[in-house]
Amino acid sequence: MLPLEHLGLAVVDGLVNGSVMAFIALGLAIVFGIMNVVNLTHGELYMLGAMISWLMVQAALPYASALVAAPLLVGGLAVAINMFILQRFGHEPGQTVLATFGLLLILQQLGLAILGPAPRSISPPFNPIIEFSGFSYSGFKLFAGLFSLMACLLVWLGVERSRIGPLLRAAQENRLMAESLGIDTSKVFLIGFALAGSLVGFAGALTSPFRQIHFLMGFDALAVSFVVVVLGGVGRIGGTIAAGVGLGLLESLAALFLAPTVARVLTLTLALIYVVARRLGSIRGVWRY
Amino acid sequence: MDRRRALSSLLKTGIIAAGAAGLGAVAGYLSGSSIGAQPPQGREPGVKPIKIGFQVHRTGIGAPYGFWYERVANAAVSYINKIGGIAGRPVELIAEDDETSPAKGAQVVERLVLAHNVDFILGALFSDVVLASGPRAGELKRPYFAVSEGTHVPFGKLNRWCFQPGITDVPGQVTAVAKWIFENLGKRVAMIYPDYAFGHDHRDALTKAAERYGARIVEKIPIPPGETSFTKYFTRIPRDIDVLYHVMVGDVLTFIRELGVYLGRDRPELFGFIDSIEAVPLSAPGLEYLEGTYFWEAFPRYADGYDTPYARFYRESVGVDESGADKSDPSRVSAFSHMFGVWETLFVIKEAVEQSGYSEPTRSDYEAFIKTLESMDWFNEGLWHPQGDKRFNGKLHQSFGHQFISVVRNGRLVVVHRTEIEDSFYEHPNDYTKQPLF
Repeated sequence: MLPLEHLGLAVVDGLVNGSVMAFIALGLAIVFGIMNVVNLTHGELYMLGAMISWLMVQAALPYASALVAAPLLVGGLAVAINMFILQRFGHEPGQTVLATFGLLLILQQLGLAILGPAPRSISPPFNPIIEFSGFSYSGFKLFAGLFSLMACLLVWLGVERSRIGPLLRAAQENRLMAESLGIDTSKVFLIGFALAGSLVGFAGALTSPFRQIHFLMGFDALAVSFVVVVLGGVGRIGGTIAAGVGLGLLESLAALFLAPTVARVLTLTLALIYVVARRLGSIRGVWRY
Repeated sequence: MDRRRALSSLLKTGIIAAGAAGLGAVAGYLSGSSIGAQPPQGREPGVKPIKIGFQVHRTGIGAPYGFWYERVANAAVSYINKIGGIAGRPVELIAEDDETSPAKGAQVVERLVLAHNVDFILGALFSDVVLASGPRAGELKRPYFAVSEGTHVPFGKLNRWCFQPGITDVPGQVTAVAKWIFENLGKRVAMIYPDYAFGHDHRDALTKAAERYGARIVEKIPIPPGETSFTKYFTRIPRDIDVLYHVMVGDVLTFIRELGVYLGRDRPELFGFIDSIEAVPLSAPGLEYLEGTYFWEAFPRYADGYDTPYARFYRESVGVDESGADKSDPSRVSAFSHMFGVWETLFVIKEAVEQSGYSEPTRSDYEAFIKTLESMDWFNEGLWHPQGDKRFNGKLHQSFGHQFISVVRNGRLVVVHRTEIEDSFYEHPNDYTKQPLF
């Protein structure tokens, strides 16, 4: 019989990992989900956030300063990528994919040049061991999970309840019409990239004390982010958050009963079935969102 | 070659030459001088060089190893050229990045043979790259020397043109250390390993060794590749085990941190393979939990772990300090337990070329080279084999050697045991010598 403490640990760990996953994917949910721009540098921007955090701690600056610097610098870089490269292609999908893939490689090599080939790590600024009944958990990781969830909900509210969301959608769906209505679409795209870059840069810095910092860490972040965004329903910030948390929880619970790799395969298979079923449902008008 | 003739005349001349050339070689290497085209001292310039192609993981996931493999290859070639080259000919190293990619690895092999017409290929570390490259080397009829630890060479997954003489393989390593683990740490073992070929080699070898020594692997926990969070798998670790055996699960700093939180102080003995923390400083935040735990090392990271004149010369030649870090950048820790394989492999090529009379990339010369290499059975410890003597099995194309077990004490690795070569022997029916060469 399954010990209760194992179930408790799986739930806590699943919720924490899921929340962090959703937070990392949030920027992609805006750029890809709402603005329909396939930004393959998303994972590398995450890596840069973590790298900035490492550099600042190495320079004897407090970790908290990285939480300010990383979103500013990475957000600025995302804006520059949009202004100087993607905007010139009119965000046309084919060219955007090629351009961002090239940038992905450049940023990855930049990471290799600065971090070196070996993994790096920094100490959490605080890390009390939290005792639950029957198991213990990292205090900083728990904090990062809760912070991620709060940040996700705030961004969701911000995008859905303010003018930002409709403006981003309008600029993506019919740029000519939006501009004829007086919307400066270039500025809207700039805001979208700034927001997405800042969020993923922040996520990189936030997770850097409990994940190893490595020049290749962006690959996994990109893959997971795409899975979460697609699973949550493209264009739905709330869906992305739910998908991230749900996926984390499902994977954690499945690992209690199944071999780890089988658990992962099962989780992703269920996610795929859900996406296909939702697509079929929406075609038949059964499933609306 | 008889092992009992301990340090052969070959090595004696090597030591004398080293005295004269050692510092120059190191200085030349550290100053970044071009070493490939440098003719051996006392030889006529313009003598046709022996060209050795080098498939190197400069980028991709293998980059931490690739950096050091390339440094060691350059240092070894520099030293070889200082002591007269190979059969009196200078050695030219032609290195190409394989991006730690199997597809690119096979392309690199093609380019090295077809564009550069290299005589031999110094191969890769990562198993998937070796598995993709070895068959192409066989098709192109060019000797390919893996420095990989994988079982693909000894278990017959490649071909007669592929060798692994400079580094021991996973089954040999595990077989050697398993006896010590079971006798000293306990017989109830759980293991955590990556869920791909490298991890499966560990799983299979340790399971076999457990059967032999009356131990029990009570839980096997394979970790999916690319995992970045491990706590969810720790609930599978039984509480009543003596030893938790762990190897290369990927995001090692996260793994150790989370393991520390989960197990706390009331933990079983931990035995790991250095692969997990190769090129990672033990002072890295999060690794404090490793204090008092054990690791396999092929060649001790800290100089006092195996302090011989040969090991010192090698360490000096490749620019590594007493604690296993780069002399010019102490924050950069070396891949010390793997990179010596590059050094030793290059000297095996030298020995085999000189004994076989190899001269040109022709059928007859390659036949003589390969048969000579297959007939070798010992590589004596010395400047050319600083990690220790090795038994070479010509049928398996694989070397067997000594292994080290170290404990983390005061934040450094301290050697507690060195295994005998015989401890690593295992049976396998593979026999490459039965395969036709052409």
